Amino acid sequence: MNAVRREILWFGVLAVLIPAAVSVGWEPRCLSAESRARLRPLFETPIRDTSVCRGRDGAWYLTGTVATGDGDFQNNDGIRLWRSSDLKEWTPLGQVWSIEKHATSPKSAWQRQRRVNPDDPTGPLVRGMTSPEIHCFEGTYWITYSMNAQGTGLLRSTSGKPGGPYVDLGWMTARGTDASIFLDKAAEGGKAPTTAYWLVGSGWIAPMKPDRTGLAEHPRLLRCAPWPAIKHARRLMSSTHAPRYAGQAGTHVVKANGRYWLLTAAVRDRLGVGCYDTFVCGADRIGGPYDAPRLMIPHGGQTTVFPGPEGKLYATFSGRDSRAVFRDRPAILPLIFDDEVLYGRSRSKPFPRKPFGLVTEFGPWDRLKKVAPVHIRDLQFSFAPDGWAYLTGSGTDNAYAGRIMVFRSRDMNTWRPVDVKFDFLSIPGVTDEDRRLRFDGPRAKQGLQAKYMDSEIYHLAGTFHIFTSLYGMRSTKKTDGSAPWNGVMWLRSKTGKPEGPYEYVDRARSQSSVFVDRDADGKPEQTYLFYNGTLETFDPRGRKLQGKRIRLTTTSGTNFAKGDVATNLAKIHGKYVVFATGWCGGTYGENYRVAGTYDWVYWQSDTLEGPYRMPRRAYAMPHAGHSCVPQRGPDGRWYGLLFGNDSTGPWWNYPGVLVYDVRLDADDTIRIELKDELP
Amino acid sequence: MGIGLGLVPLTAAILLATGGEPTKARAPGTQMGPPRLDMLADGHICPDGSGGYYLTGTAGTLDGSGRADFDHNRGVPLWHSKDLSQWQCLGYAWDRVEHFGRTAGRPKLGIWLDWSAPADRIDGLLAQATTSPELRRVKGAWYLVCAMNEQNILLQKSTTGKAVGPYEDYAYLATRGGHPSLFVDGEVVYLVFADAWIARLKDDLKALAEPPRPMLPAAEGEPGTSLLTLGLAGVNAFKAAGQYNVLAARWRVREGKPHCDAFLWQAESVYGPYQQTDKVLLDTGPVSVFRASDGTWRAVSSQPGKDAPRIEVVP
Repeated sequence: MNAVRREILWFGVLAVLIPAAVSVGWEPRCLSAESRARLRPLFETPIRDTSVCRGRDGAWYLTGTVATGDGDFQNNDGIRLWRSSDLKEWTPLGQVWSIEKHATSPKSAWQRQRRVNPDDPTGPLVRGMTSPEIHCFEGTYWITYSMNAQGTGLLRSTSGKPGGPYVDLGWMTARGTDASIFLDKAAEGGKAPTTAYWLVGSGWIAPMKPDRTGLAEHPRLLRCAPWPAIKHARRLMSSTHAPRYAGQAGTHVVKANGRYWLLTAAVRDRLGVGCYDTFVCGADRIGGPYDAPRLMIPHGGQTTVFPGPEGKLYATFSGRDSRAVFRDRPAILPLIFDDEVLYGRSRSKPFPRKPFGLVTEFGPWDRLKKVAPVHIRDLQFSFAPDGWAYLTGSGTDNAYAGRIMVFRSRDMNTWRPVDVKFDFLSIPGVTDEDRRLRFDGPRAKQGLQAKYMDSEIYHLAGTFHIFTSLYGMRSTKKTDGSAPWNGVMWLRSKTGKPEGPYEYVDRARSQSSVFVDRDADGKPEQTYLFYNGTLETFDPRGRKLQGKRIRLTTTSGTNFAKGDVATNLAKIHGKYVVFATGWCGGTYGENYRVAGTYDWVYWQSDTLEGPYRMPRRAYAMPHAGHSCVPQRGPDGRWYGLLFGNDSTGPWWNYPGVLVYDVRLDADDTIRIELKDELP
Repeated sequence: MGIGLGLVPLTAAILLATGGEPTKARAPGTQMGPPRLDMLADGHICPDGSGGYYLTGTAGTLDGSGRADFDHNRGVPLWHSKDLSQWQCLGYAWDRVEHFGRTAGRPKLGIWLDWSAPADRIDGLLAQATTSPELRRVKGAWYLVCAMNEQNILLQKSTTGKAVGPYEDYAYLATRGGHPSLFVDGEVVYLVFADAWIARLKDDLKALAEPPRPMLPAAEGEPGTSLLTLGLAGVNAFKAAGQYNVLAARWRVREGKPHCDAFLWQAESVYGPYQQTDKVLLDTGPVSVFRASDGTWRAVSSQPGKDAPRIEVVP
């Protein structure tokens, strides 16, 4: 494929990355919170699968899987309870059920058995009551429980008080875990009685007997509509390729805003790691059909929903995975109803979800500041010999129509604009008609055609170089029927200064970055352009890009990038490291952008040519898709960038600076991990 | 009794497994080297039609510390045997690295270029592995059905009419589920996957002809007493004596210790409901099933770390 065809293809890819119906000034509600706050634990006791209900006395009661010893959530002696009158201060009520003391009746005999450890099946047997939920209805308190995910049962308070004493009604299902109860008050005001449903695991449901001592029917599986699909390789997955279950575990049902909401916990590889998130599907009837799953609480895991003050709905938060804002501590958060689905093509009904601006992910996201109040994408920065760091990218802000956006900083905190001078008409063959069609008029200035895109800035051979693009204009023609000039260009400062003026040198390659390979003394040996996994030698002092090309490969026969083509190359701690954009959080046939993350991943090799391997046990660099090589600043810290391109990042299309830990581990593996720090 | 391979010395098995030059293009780096029989999971055996057998499964590789790692491999390994005892390594029947080079990085379906965390694993990290492959002969053609990182189920078809391939992308069957298996029931072919889900395939095997549905246990006795599912992920269906059979494994406590046994389930309809029989394969974990040349049904269970898969006669 020749370079021009490849560039056209890549422009097509870029067009897909930016929502089609969206002007460049548009901002999604989910990323427009005026302030951000970090979710905090309610208290510091290790608890999973937190459950809260509101009691008859107006107070709230909390339980969950308690840990014993060194974070052992499979061995315990029963169920503990906490109480709060304001959802802030929580008082322990102690152990309301002890297997040793209370499981003495024949119905409770099964509690005393030891079972296979679901976290380590080949390990020693375990005994513990897991994922208990507390409910208040019919004048008393009920606690559902599971025995190490191998059967579910129910306790009832005989005193009508949350502290018990409780009687064990025995097991409800011989298999399954994460039991819950849903009281369907659909007939409220009508003649039909309230129906209580028993919920288990990944979406099993059965009505309970009127006396709640067992199930009235065999459980059946609730299912949801398929995960949103998207075309890949000209193929659209049909609805027959449905997911198996609504979620993986922790089924909970709540009725609100006139709909039934099926809440489940499911693993998605957002951020390049198995995140244990909470998903929600809506239905007009308890039995479904349920909508496609929506991301409700990132890292929320198994949740319960309960009425808070003034009836406002709250949800519990578990934090099971390593990228959660904290792990294995009880927390709650208010819910909002909103229909916005970023990158979703179908209309959505408002669904319950985490408030915008509430941070449930590990990292500095609640404190991170935009370094400039302008829209930008596809960020890159580099240090220059003058002591400044220079930052550029796709300057999509309307204020930068017809101008190349560059900022500079000495401390990575305060960034000042650089007034870059480049005359579009200096490009060979460009006419005033090209300029007028591309840049003139308010409508043109609002579109991407007036913006210099994918810009990267480097100081090479004594001066500044900018690689940048002007995208093709599909529907605009010149009087001779041809398209206005478009393409990728290599620009060079004629003065050695960052502001230029710049001269047009040659056509470049789409999404070009620069890699300078240096010898052991740091002396430059060869300069390369790097684009979509391909290296091309070039001379920064020359006038033509016509070097030798090398296609880099991976050890596993995969592309570097996923859902994108952006790549950068660096030499870090003696290793060659390829950085690439990866959409994480869904499989190939799914529209993984809907709830996925736009991340930056990396591959390493001992040789320039590769093949490159993705470091095993490596995380993605969260939300930093199509950014740049992390670089060590004058203060010794490693800095990188992000611009925000997904529904769980800090914002939408603004520049931000992140701090990383970049090291070479003893197993000869590069590790790059986000630090919870600000520049 | 089944034909066990436990007596084959470890070193001999590895020599057999790695002997010769199994691939034209050697894997770059030792971590993605030739297939090793002692690092095979999800083993599956398919008769070759001439009295011999092919063996495939999830290829393990060595990580930096020398441990077997099933989240990174370069494709689908293949062995052949005439006696279910001595296995000759045929290299990779489907080789992602070679395929990537041959298609200039743009294979037909693109799925194989994907990397992701393995499905349903909290804190699972980015992986690039072809998992749970099965070799099947359907209507005279050889197919590999396999998953990528336990999801993205694909069908590959041999371009030469031979089991050894090479294979080309043929169909993208499902986005999630993993552990795929093809069940041929006369003229009808089903995809059986995940923890016993099933969907009929279109006649040309290009796509599912119906939404997948779970193969469920019969709902009998008091509500709540039945098992919710047949068992763990990784099941095969087979038809014998007019009955549809599924072997599904689950963990249980026997003699005070955890054991993963495979239970035989039967149904009148392929979709179920399934009744659990009293036939159990002890300590096999999830198994695949094939019919040996003597007409008996055999179950294959993988034993990573040992020199070969375990093969037992289905009771």
